[in-house]
Amino acid sequence: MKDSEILERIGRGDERVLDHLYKKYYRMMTKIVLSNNGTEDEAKDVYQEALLAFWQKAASGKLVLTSKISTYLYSICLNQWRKELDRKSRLSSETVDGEEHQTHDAKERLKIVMECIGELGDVCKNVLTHYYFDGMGMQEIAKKMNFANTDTAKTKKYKCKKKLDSLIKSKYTTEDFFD
Amino acid sequence: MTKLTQEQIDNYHSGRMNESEMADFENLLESDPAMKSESNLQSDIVSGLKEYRKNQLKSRLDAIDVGPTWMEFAQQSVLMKSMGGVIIASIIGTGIYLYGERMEVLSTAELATVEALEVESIEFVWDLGEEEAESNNSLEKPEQITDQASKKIAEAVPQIEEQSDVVNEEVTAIANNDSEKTEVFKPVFEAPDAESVEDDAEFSATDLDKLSESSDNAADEQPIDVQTELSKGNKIRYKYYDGKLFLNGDFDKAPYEILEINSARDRRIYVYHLGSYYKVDIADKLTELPKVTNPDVISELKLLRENK
Repeated sequence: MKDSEILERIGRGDERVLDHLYKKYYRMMTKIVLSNNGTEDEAKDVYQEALLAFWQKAASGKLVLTSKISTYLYSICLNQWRKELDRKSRLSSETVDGEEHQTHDAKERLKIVMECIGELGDVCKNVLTHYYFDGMGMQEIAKKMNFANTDTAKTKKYKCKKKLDSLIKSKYTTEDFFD
Repeated sequence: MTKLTQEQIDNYHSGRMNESEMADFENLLESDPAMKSESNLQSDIVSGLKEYRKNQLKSRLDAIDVGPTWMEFAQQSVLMKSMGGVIIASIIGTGIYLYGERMEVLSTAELATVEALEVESIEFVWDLGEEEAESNNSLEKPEQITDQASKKIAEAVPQIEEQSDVVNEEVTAIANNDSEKTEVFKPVFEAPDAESVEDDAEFSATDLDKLSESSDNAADEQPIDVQTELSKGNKIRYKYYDGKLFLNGDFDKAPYEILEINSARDRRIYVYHLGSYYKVDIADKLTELPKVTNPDVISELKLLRENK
């Protein structure tokens, strides 16, 4: 598969391309971490994060690729692992209490949001995640999800989002969120 | 709150604003506490949706088997060592098969390239028929094998060089490739060590350019790399990824044949063994080779096989 074809298929939200890429570059990318004091799990994490960052950019059409996909992925992995090594060395020298407290709150809120998303139906989940994570346009979403047309996708997205908002608002207490 | 601001908040958090719109929005937000808290809520929701999708895609990736890890490879080779002579004997047998293959490839490659002008064609076909009897004998007399094998190496190498001068680019590629393979498998004969078989080219090929180049060409000229392991029983098991095929089956009784059908878009690989055709798909775990049942495909393969 050529890089241009891969990008075009990602634009349509074709996840099989993700599988294909994942397999194809697994050894190459995990080696970056493995040969730089990383474990197999860390290597996998870094690679997955990098691949999903690439996917997200490519799916939303924001990616202007000036090199091969493999080169691009390689540089993301390399940067991510450098960052992680940096973070590790900082963690061992100092811990910031305030920061930790804040992330705890954020974690709690994220948990509530995730639970609410879990309560939605599959169609809503897919429409919303395709819109917000993959950054897909209404036209692509309509095609991918077999909606009659773009308007149906828009309506679905609007209704699903409203439902999710109200679910979350009902679970968020004022202290939880409205500071 | 008007619908417009709701939409603006949505666009802001879903990354659908340009830089100046974002700056305007952020300014506006500072002067409107109600809007700010709504925006914070939306920020949470969007982060949640992103996280949700990320987890979904990650578990999809986790379900993909990427092949044995380094540890598993090490364990496998230790296991093979401990099984001792029997395995080594069969590896030697396998090695002779592979040498036979290589020589066959060279002789059929020239012929196949002539036919390979149509979009869908056989790149090459190899047949182990002639080598079969020999390797059966050699399994019983291990000392002889080494002699035979080194003779074969001596014969094969000049043949490779000779041929690559004469034939066209495509065949040269195959020949070079084969001489590479010859090097990879050489240790099997010099020192029958199970570990050297495991030491496959895949791991050395992790260099950036080399890998991306070979994968770009995956659909065209590169022939697949085959490694075999003999086992009793009538099932053929296999692994196939990164252009490397491992076959595990009872090839003592009858040889196998590989049929590659290359077209502009994809490459299909089939194995012929004892009157049946099998389809090779990407598989990282040792899997039983599925038989082809579609009569159309079978007749197509028959045609290709008999016309080789």
